[in-house]
Amino acid sequence: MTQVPKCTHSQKARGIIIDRLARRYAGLRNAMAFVVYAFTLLPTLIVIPISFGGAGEMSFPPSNWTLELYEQLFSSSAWVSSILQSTKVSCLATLLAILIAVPAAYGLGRFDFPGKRLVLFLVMSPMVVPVVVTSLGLYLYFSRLHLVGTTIGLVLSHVAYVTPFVVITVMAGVNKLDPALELAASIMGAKRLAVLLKVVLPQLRPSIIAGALFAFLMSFDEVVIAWFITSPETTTLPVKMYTSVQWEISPIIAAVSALLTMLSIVFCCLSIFLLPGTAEPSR
Amino acid sequence: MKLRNDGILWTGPATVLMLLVLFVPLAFVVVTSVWTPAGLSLAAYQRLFGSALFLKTFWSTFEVSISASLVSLLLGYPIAMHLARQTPRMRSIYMVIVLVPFWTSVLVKTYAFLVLFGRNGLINQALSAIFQMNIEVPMLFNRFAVLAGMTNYLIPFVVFPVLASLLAIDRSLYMAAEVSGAKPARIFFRITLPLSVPGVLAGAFSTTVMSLGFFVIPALLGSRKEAMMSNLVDFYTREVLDWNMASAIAVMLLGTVTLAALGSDLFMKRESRSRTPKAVPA
Amino acid sequence: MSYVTVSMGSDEVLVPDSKQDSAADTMPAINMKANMIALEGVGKQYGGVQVLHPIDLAVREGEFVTLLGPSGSGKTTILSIIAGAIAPTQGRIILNGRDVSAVPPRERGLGMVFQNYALLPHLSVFDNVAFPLQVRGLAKGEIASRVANALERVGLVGYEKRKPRELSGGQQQRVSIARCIVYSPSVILMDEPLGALDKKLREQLQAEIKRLHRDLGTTVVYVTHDQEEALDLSDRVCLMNGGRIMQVGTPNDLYFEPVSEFVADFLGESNLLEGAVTAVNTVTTRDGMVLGVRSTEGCCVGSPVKVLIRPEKIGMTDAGAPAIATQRHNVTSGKIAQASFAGGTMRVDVLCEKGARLRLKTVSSRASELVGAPVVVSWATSDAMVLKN
Repeated sequence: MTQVPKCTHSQKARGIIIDRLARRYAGLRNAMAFVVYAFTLLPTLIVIPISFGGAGEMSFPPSNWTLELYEQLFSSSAWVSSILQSTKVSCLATLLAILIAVPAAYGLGRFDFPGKRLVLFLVMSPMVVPVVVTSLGLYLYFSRLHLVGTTIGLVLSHVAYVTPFVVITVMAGVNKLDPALELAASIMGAKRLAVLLKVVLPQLRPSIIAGALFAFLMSFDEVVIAWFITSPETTTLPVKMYTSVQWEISPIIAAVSALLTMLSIVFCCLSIFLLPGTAEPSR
Repeated sequence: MKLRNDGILWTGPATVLMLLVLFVPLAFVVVTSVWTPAGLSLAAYQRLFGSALFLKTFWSTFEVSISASLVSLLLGYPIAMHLARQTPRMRSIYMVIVLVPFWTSVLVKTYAFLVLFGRNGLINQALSAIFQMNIEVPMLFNRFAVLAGMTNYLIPFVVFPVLASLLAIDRSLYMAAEVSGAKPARIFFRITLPLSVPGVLAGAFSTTVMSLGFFVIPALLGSRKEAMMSNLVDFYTREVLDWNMASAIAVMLLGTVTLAALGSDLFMKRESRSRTPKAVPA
Repeated sequence: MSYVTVSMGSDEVLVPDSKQDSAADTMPAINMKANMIALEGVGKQYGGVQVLHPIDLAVREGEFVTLLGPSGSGKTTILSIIAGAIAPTQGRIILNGRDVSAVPPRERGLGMVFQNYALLPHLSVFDNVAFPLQVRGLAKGEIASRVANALERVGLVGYEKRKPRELSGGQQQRVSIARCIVYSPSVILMDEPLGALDKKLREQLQAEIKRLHRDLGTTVVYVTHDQEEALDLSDRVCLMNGGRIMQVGTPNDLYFEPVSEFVADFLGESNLLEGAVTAVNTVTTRDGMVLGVRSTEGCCVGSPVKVLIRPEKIGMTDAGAPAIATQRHNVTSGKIAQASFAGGTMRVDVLCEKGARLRLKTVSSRASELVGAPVVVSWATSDAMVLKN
């Protein structure tokens, strides 16, 4: 709108009007965007100030700031054990998922082989199948295998649940690798494993770490599968939260939520730092 | 020859995992849905289609999913546009606003809505304080709450594809339009909107398909009336203890989602094919 | 195509079958003409498209052979097949007497230099060069001394600790060459190694590659689309087009005795006059010029041919000089149609009286800039080559 070179008065006037209109539109557009930003972000952030309010009140801003809820949280053995259980499950699931998904991403990103489409379909299907269907299936299946209520059962289920997301993240990294490097290494005499360990993995490190962060968080936050296949002894944090919200809305949840929000902020920043531009895998 | 073996070797563990931990369970669901003490039978499905509860839930699952998808599209689009207009540096800063909720547990967000929308929740508290009277707008355990929660969850999934297609628009188109004197509204309807259709469609389809399987949000923010098919599966598994029915509903849900996913995939492919040869609107 | 000798295998050492590996090992190593690489009927199809028609090609030990051709000619496909990066649809690859058609790249004992260097970005120069020795499990001390030696050969002493991204393109390619020579592979494959460099660096590195080949005596298969590089470096050139071999021979063979218009055109500038054979060693061009040519062997009278004359073989004198056609010389008069200055030489286009347009190269002089000046051009009949259509 500024590029109106030689212009008559009327043209100039028109230009100014358009300019003003554009500015008003821009203002409107920005206002709309910021309202939505607020709607997106506020529910996530509001739990933090609430968590510093007392157990009795639920107001914003809290009338007196206290760590009461955190003290309650960490002195409740049920909550603490669910946090520990969740941490254990997520760590194991992440480790296994990386071990399985990184080679898969490499195989899918690098090679052509018969049945590749089928393998791709199999590996990506957890993204499409509704979690509740998977959960019911796992419940029926694990009942037979006596795996319901076991940590290993939950870990395996979570590995399957997060694997497609890790595969996608790492595959994006594989697609950016120069295949000539692997060919060069292999011509120089490096065996498959040496090529993977010395050539491919060092270059994939950022995407693998991002995939691991993603896997950890997804497993740590996963409710539905855990809700179906855990027993009171192996209850994870999200299941504990789910039941508390459902039955009593214990104020301790505010503290848990605040901790989870902070965790996700840290992970989000890490992933942006690691992989600028790829922090938004299609979930 | 070498390449083939390698591909299977690398993807082997993941394939086995998926077969054992996803497809065998799915087979269990299908078998359980048709297996009764009396042998193979479709009785569960017959019961389903005679059940008013199921039919109502089935339709409301669609209604809620489609409306949640549309609302998040309407809300996500302005954000995507705002992000598209930023410099790359500013964009990555604003992006954090979208990414932090995206990375946050759905339980946290749901809990926040409980706190905000409750009878004595923060919004009612604020309204009461403003109008100096006791206001208790019922915002929880109804369709409004479910839609608000779902939309909040879905917005990032609209923003990513729409932003991608907005960023793919050639900047010089805008320059050309501005130089030729087109007004902003005209530019939006003639350039921005039509060229972002692929992203809009991708966002709309993926959020609808995702919504069909939602579990936590309708369970916690809705009443029994807002239950979706996922919740019905849970209900039959846990409260009625009828695995036969639960499995039949799960099979229906899986079928619905698969059809929706396949349908949108097909539509997207046809859409992109019809688009490619077309001249760029000026 | 009577004098194209594509198959090098038949008249030399018989290539042993894979089943006779042991026999191959016991063969006298003194045989200097031993084939290091032999491709036998090797072809490649991609989704029904024949990107490489079945070819036979042999490379002798210590030889520098260049695969030359435009993009899509199949030269890189051949290199990838030798390297083992892609499997041929048909044919056998014999490396050092062993059928390696089903052998993975890591067991072929080759070295390769890539256009984009293919250095490992996370490793230092030292570690990059040490990589092939490490995978072979050599001792630390041995590795250090061999790497130092290789880096010295390419003039990169003092750069050991740098990362590839801290080096210029030329330096990176030197590292890549060092990484290749450090483990003395029997064959080095080079895929347009100078393609990403600017002209000056290219010439410098080209000279170094030539020197290294002379010093080390390694067999080299080199891929390029640059004819000057090919002519300068190679013992033999294999010119390719459209997935077929057009001609194999020494640079001299290809330049002075091209077997087809494509070869003549691809290497250097050429004048091509269309005509027909009218008598033994005589061709009459379309516009009626009667030319003596070196040989019409294999052509019938009346068969359509093209006559090739290299610009630098044509002499030009002022119109006043006597111009007599002899058995050994073709002479025609004409006038300068265009002249362009190219440093030490001039490129002059002469429009002959019969209408043909000839390009020639001459020593720069003011006189030859005179467009329209009448001149006489002549060339030896032995420099006029017949190309059958």
